[in-house]
Amino acid sequence: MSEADQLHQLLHDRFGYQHFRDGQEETIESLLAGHDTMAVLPTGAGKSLLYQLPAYLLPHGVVIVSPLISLMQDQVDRLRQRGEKRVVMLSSQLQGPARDQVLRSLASFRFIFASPEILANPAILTALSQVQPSMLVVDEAHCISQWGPDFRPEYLLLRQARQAIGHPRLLLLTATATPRVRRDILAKLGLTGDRVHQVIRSVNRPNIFLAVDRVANPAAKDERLCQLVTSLPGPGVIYFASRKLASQMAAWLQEQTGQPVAPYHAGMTAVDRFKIQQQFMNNQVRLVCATSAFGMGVDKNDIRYVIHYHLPANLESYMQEIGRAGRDGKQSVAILLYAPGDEGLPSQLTTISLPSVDLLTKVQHHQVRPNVLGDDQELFTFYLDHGYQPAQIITAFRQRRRQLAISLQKMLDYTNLQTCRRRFLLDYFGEEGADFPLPCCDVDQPRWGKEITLPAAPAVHDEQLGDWHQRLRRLFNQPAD
Amino acid sequence: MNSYILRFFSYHQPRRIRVIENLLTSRRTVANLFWGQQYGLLPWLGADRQLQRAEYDAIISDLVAQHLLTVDDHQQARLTTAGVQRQEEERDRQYRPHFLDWYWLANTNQLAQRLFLGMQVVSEFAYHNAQYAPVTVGYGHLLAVKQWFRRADRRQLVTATYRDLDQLTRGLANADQRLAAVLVDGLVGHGLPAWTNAQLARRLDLSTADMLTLNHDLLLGVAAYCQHVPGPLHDLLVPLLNPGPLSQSAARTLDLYRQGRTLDQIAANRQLKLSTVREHLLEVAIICPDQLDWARLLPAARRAALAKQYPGPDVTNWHFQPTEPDDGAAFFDYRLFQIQQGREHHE
Repeated sequence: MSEADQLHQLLHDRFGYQHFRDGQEETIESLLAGHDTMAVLPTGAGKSLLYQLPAYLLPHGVVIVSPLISLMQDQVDRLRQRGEKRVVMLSSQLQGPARDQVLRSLASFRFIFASPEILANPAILTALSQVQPSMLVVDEAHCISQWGPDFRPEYLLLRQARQAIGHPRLLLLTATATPRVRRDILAKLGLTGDRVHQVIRSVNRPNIFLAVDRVANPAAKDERLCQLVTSLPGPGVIYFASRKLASQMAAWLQEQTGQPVAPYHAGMTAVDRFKIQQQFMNNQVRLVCATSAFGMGVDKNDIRYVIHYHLPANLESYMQEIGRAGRDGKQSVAILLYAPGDEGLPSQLTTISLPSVDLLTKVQHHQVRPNVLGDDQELFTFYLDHGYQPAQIITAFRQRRRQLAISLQKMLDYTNLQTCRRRFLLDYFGEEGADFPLPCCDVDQPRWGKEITLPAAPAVHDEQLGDWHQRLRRLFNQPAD
Repeated sequence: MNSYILRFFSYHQPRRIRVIENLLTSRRTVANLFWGQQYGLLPWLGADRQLQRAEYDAIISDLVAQHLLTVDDHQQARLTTAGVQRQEEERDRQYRPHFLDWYWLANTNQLAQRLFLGMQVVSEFAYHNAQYAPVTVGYGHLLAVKQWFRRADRRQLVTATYRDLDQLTRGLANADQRLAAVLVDGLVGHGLPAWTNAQLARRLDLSTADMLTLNHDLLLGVAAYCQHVPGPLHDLLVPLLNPGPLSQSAARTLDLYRQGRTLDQIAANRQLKLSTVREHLLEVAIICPDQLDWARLLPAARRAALAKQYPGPDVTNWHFQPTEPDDGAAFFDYRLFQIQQGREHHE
């Protein structure tokens, strides 16, 4: 059997698919040939298959680094759902005897998920080096490029971590990276473009109609949201910038619309998040009010709309989040609600007060305690502890702050466009020449609300409550009395 | 959540706000246990382990802003007249717990995780399904449930678990129908999405505060059942149950003390600091006073001297008077005396 046949066989037998999606086969072949590979594929293109399939052909386990625990948990759940038992998650949540047991038996796992901070731990690195992993996967690789006040500084240590675990082949995954970010990711990992096989596909998702709704004030925004939720067929997701608002608005929308709505954010317990996800998959909940914690791994194909109640901080996040709509390829819509002054929120979230170089130098030399640096002391001490110089840190933070301001301005520009929104997005992601069918956004088609036809919503599955005897029998497959 | 916190304060007795926070989050220092007992709130130990400092402080500030509570310079809070009125209004519709006496039996957060996963595993097994995403719980629970499932008699497991859970739920329903609903509707199973407590609270018309209390109470009820009734639930959950109200270490110190060892001998034997041994005995004095030989611990002459020094009947108003530099023995005696007098006063 040829290698290509073998791959197709595995794709069919283990994953239940007939065909590879665009970019998958090329990436997998490159990895199996031992090349470091970067895959930039749009949300919904099936990025997890890129490491899951080779994992069954490579001799040792695969290490996957992910920036968020919830994201790893999604991946772990989905692998287990597929019947894969040899999967483990290394994070600060794993402690005590359970952790010891995992580290002792690390070689028995096929998929080892690790948070970036855990890869800074020497004991973990030693245990991993003994496994001799066949591949290191960096999920959401654009995080490597976002160093500064707003992201996981531990991503900067991945270069050393890779070295420490025996320099396995590397797979870099991201859905959205501009050419500048792609170059930066490689530079931070000590790689150059000519030594890494790059598989890049358009970020465009032609079946997602793009719209911006400008309203006069927050009250008008709520009213508009309510109208949209009532008129659009679900299932839908609404993104909020705060957990509190996500919860409050879920309750409010349920009351206003009578539809089943649930919140989803990192402030809820893991078990509650699991339950809401299950209800959403099962169409018991039609609408989820979420923070960005939701859904990087949510495998629901028929999400018909994604609404942003708040302005995201940048176009990268926006593309990722709207990409959760319409994975089934059917018509879907992404709506950004904007009220004057909304840009204040993300800029607040990303503002950080910078200490002087002098003060940072004193902290570096232990002349003053790090707590003089205030709430962000851990962030600054992280960089100091890893050999960065005070002047270098401050310069980088300033640059990052400028970069954040530019990103936010791009986001604002998007809301203000008088020209095609899709063209603007594609230009931003370096796809100036890309073609797409019109009309595609509310600039081309201002009366889209009446003209766009979305597929009908699946029936809401209303689970009756009340008789616990009956539910208990159903739970355990017992006959009625 | 304000009404949840409001119920722990009193008009007559100033109460330390940190002690109440520490009780709810289960920080078992002797001082917290002592004051918890003085306030009559020991059964609430560990009732809200998820409570965050910022959230708690915000609630206290809010209650003060609403003139329901006052906080003095020593961080002690008292209800105002309006606070008493509010507490009384709420008392009638508040959920009344049934199983709080078992407060020491289990960490209800941990118990819930293992119960959820265990029941999901049996439910999927009942439908012959091996491919599903297990409910998100700590890895330790995953291993424990795997072992439990491996050891169980598979031919009986589904029926036995169903019967076990049915019996437990009937018992809970006898205490309060809502307990049965929250337990069964919250369980994750094959093709049967479960309800979150927030959703169930809405359906059952319970406030967030009451749902928090009910859920904790429910899990203590589950723990109490498992402790007594053999069966799959017992096998699943018994590793998470505490053998008694004392911490394991305090229980070991008590054993040695009852064998006639002195405190110094116990410290040497267990390689502990003397102060730790004293703390253990104070814990015993607070939680299981009948286990101690008080005459030996606090001889009559010492008691008489302390009675002269601390004459008032209300032990919560006493202040320790250090007489001379000592190794902590004077405070130990003082606290023991305070505990003993507090009990007598109470009785």
